[in-house]
Amino acid sequence: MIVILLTSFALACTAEASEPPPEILRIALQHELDIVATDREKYYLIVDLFSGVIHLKAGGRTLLTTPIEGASTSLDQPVARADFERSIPPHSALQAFKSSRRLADRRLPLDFVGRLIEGPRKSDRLYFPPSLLIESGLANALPEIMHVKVSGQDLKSISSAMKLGLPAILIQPVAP
Amino acid sequence: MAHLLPYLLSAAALLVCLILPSAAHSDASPSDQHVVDSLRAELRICAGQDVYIVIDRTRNRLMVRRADSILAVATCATGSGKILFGNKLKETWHFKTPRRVFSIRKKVLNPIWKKPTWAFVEKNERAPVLPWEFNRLDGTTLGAYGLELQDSYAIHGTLYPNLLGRNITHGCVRLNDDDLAAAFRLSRLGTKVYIH
Repeated sequence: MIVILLTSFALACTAEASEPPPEILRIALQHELDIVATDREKYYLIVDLFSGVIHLKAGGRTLLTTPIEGASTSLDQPVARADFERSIPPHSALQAFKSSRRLADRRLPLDFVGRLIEGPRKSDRLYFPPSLLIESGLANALPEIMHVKVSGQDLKSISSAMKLGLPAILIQPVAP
Repeated sequence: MAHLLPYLLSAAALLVCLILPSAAHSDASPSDQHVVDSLRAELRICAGQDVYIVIDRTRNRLMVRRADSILAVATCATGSGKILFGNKLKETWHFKTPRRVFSIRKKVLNPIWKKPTWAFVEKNERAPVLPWEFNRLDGTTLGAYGLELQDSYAIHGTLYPNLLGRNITHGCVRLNDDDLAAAFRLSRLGTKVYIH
């Protein structure tokens, strides 16, 4: 009997650990409701490091859920909101990109059969200033930016939903 | 009477101990968990219980969902991203499925496709001058059902089911017969279609 109780307690603890604590979740939900109240058709991201998933949502409805494969550094706040600014191509350095509005090595938008070659890529990096980057690899990680890693295919799916100003809510554990 | 005083005092003290904490609790703000529950309920109300359709253009996957459940998943085909240049100056068509939130405007059985000009230009044929000419009408291409969205976009069937899962269409979303029938059955007028 004691073993069963301990096992169920351990399972309950594990289940609880996958969800943010209520005081953090409350802030995140308030952010989410603010976005939904503004525009019910606006897409937004919930980057939940407790559950290890990214939700793409609109009007409170889930459109896509992708697992997080890793995260590099942590910010100070348990809940932070950032707005999408741009998708950074894989061949450009992050430091150089932060100061420039347009890349010199930008490719033409069409290939030789008239097909658009610009668009979401598996190797893109999604930049939410000042300090959140969603990407499929953790190479060239900068210490002042939080890097969240997802698979290439998931990144492409998320990237196809991106638009300037699209909000992301980051929920993360913070050491006391 | 005097011998009852200690009992009365202890009873009064017990009452104070019982009442004061509850009074203190009633003045306090509700716990975080209660706030979380109410916020979640509010969010559920915003999201509603209606069926909605999600189309992932990069995976070419269509999902019919309601609240937290997935009702159907299908492989679809979406826009190719090609640009077609017409015969006239500045006449171009961009075959792209846009990132947008649509809603179903019309549900049609055995839809007839009224071919736009690009369908003739693409095949190097002369386009009919009048928009209602008979050779613009095609009753076989779109399949058994059509879910019409805004701006001439639609979810419809295909003559080439082996090409599903690719970005090959002119902007519409193609499904095979069974998945199209399921999407038609599950959706209704006004159903939201989220494309990303």
